Amino acid sequence: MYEKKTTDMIFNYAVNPVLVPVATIVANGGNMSNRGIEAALNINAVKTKNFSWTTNLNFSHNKNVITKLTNPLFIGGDSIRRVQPEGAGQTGSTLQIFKEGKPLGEFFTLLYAGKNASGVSQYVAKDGSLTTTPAIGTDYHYAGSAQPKFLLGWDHNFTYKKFDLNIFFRGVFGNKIFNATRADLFRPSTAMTSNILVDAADESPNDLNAYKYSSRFIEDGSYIRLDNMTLGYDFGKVGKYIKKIRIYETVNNVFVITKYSGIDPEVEQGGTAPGVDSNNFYPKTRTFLFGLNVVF
Amino acid sequence: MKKILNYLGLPILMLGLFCACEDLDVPITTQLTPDVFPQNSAQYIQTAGPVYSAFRGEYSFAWWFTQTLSTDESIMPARGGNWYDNQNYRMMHYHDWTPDNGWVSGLWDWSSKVIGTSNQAISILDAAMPEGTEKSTMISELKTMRAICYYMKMDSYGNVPLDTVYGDFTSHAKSSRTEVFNFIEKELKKAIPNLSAASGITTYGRPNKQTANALLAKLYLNAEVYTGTQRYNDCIAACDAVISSGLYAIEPRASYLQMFYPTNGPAMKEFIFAVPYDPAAVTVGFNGQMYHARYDVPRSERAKFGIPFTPSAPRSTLPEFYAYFDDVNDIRNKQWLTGFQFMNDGVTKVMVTTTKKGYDQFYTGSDGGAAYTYQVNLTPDIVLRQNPTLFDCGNDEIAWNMGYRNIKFYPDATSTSRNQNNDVPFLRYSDVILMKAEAILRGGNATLGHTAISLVNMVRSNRSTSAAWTSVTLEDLYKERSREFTHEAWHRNDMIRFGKFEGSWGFKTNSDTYRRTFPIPTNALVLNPALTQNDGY
Repeated sequence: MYEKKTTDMIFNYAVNPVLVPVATIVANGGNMSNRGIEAALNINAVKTKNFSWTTNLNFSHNKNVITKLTNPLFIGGDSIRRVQPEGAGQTGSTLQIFKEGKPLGEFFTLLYAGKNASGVSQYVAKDGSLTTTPAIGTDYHYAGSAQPKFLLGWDHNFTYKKFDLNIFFRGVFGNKIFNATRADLFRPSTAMTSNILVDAADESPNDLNAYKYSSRFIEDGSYIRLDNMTLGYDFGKVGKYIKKIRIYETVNNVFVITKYSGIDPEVEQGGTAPGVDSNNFYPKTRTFLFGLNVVF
Repeated sequence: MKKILNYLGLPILMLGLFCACEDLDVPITTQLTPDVFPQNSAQYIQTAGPVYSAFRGEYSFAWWFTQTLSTDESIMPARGGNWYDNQNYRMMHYHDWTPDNGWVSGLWDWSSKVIGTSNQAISILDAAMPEGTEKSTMISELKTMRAICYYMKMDSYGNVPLDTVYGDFTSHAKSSRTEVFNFIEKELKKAIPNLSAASGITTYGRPNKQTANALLAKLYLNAEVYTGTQRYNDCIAACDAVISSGLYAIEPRASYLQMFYPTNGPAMKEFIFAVPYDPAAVTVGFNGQMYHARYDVPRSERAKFGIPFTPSAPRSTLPEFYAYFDDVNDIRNKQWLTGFQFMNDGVTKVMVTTTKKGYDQFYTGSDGGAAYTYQVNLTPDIVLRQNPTLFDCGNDEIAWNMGYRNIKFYPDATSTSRNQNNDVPFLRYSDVILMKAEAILRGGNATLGHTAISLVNMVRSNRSTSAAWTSVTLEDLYKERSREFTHEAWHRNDMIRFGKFEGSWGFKTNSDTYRRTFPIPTNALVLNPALTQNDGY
C-alpha cells in the first residue's frame, strides 16, 4: 500500500499571446496523487516425486488523480485540452484533458451518438442535444481513462521428470485506448485515393463526420498476453566430461487475448499522453528461441 | 601537530564555505539582460525587428484567407478531399464559420501575437533608449504597427480587448468597437508628428507619416460601419495629407502589373506601406511567407512560370467577380489566367497527357486507362461534381482546370521554395485616391479642386486606354475598387461598407448580418476567461 503526492509539477502552459507573445510559459502548476496497492502470492501447488507446480501471482492497482492545476500566471482555468494527433482535417481536435479531480490520461472528446436519418454521424452537444456539427472543445465529454484499473502478472513453473516448463502471463484490465489510427483510416470518401479500413467500407461516403475523433474510436484496452513460455529438457550428466546438457525452446509473445481492434493493445502507457494509438508504435514481434545449455 | 591541524582545519574550511556562499552573484555573460541589451541603434532595431517579422507571419495567410475567401473574389473548394481541411475554406465561402474555424482562430492568434510583441518591444525600448528623436520615431512606428493590428482585429471581430501594457497579465474584457476605434485614431494622431516624413528605401517596410494618414482615412471611411457615425470629411482630410505630401504617384498603365512582380520594392511610387517578402533571407523558424503561386497557378503551368515546385492550385475566382473585368482595354485583365493556356511565347499550347479516366473521373468507357492528351483550358465555373456537401469538385483534370486564376503577385521563378519575393502592399496611393472619391460621393466636401469623377479618372487613365468616365456612381466605384485591389485583401472590407456582404454568390446564400464580424475563437475564450462570444454566435 502506498500513497505518493507530487507537488509543483512543471508543465508548458498555453497563455494568451497578447500578454506573452511566445504564447506559452513553463510553470510549476500541478499536483498529483498516486495511491495504490501491490500484492504477490507464491504457491507451491503440487510437489510429487516426478511432478511439481509452483505459481506466482502479482497484482497491482493504482489510482492516479490530478489534485491541483493552477498557477497565478496560467489563466486557462483548471483544465488543459491536449494530445492532437493532427489527422487530416482534424486540426485543433484533442483527445485528452488535464483536469483537477481526473487522472492523467483522461479522454475528453466527442460523444458519438450513432447516425442520423441521412446517415451522418452525430454527437451529443454540450446541452445534451444531438448535433452533426459539434464544436471542438465545447461539445466534448469525459470518456474514460487510459490508466488500467489493475495489472496482473502470473508465472507458472512446472517440472515433470526431466522436463521443465515456464509460462508467464501478463494482463492489464480496465483501461481505455483511443484508436486514432483507426479514425484516420475511416474515410470512405478517400477510398479512390488511399487505403481505408475494411469496416469503413460500410460507411456512407456522405458521412463527412465518419473519421472525427470521438468516443466511437475509444476501445477497451484490456488484454491477457502469454508473454513468455519456455520448455526445456535436461539430459543431466552425459559421459565423462559433460556435467549437464539442457535443450530448451522459448517463445515470446505467444498470444494475446483482447477485444482491442488495433494492432496491439500494449500502446504507449508512459509519459503524459498514455493510451493513444496514433500510428506511433511498432507492433511487438513474436520470437522463437532454441537453446542448448552445456556444462563441462 | 596533527591535532593542531584538526583544530585549525575545520574553521578554515568553514570560512571557505562562507566566502563561497557569498560569492554566488556571478555576472551573466552568456545571456542578454536589460543591463547589456539593447544599448545602441543597431540593437534598438534588433529589438523592434520581431514586431515586423511577427506582422509578416500570417499577413498572406490568415489575413488573406479571412478577408478574401469570405467574399465573391475567391473560392477554394476541395479536390478529391484535398484542401477540405476541417471545412476551413468551405465555411469561408458559405458564411457558416464557427468559433473553431482554423482561419478565424489563426487571424485572432496572429493579431494578438503582433500586439503582444509590439507591447513588449515598446516596453523594452521605452526603458532602454535615451530621450530624443530616435526614440520617439521608433516607438511611434511600433505604436503604428500595433494600431494597424488593432484595426485589423476591430474590423474582423468588432469588440475586442485593449491590451496595451506589457507585463500586465490580467485578463481584459472586450472594449466596444467605438472605444477601439477611438484608441486607434488617438494612437495614429499621436504618432504622426514623430513618424518619418520620408518614403522609399529609408522607411520601406516600416510605417511613415503617410502610413498613419492612409490608415486614418481607412478608419474614417468605414466609421459608419464601426461606430454608426459618418466621418467622410475626416477621411478626405486624411487623404489630402497623403496627397499633399507629394511623395506618391499613380503607377502608369505600362508598369501597373510590374508593381506586383517579384522584383517590386521600395521604388514603387504607390506603396505607402507594404510587407516585404524575401525567400533568400535566412529565416529563424516561421516568420512569414507568401505562397500565392502555390494556391493559384494551375498544376500544368509549372514549366511556363518556371517555379521550383508543382503548385496545388485549388484557388480561383468566381464568375460573379470576374464579370467586373469587362473593359478590354484595361491592363488589369492581364492578372488573370483564363481559357486556353499557352506558354510565354503565346503560341505553344500548354498540353497535358493523362488517361481518359484521369481527365474525367466519371468516364465510364472500358478504355479509361487509355492515354489522353489535351490543351489546358481554364473554365470559369466551379462545379461541385464529386460531392456538394464536402465542397468537392473532384480530383481529375476537369476539376483542376475549374476557375479563372489570379497571377497578380506574379509567380517567382527565382525562388527555390514556395515562398515568393513579391512584396505585398497594405496601403497604396490609388487606394487613397479612390477612398477620397468615395468619401466625396458619400457626402464629404470636395477639396483641392478634386471631384469624385476627377479622382476616379486619375486612377482609370493609368489602367485603361478607354475613354475617361463622365460620371461615377457608388456602384461604379465599388467595381473599380474590385478591379484595382484584387488579391490585396480589402474586398471583405469593401463588401461590408457597400452593404454587399449578405449577397449570394457561388454556393453561398447565407445573409446573416451578424457575420460582418467573425466569432471570438474557442481557444481565445479559453485563454482569456474575461472574453465573451460575439452576438449571433
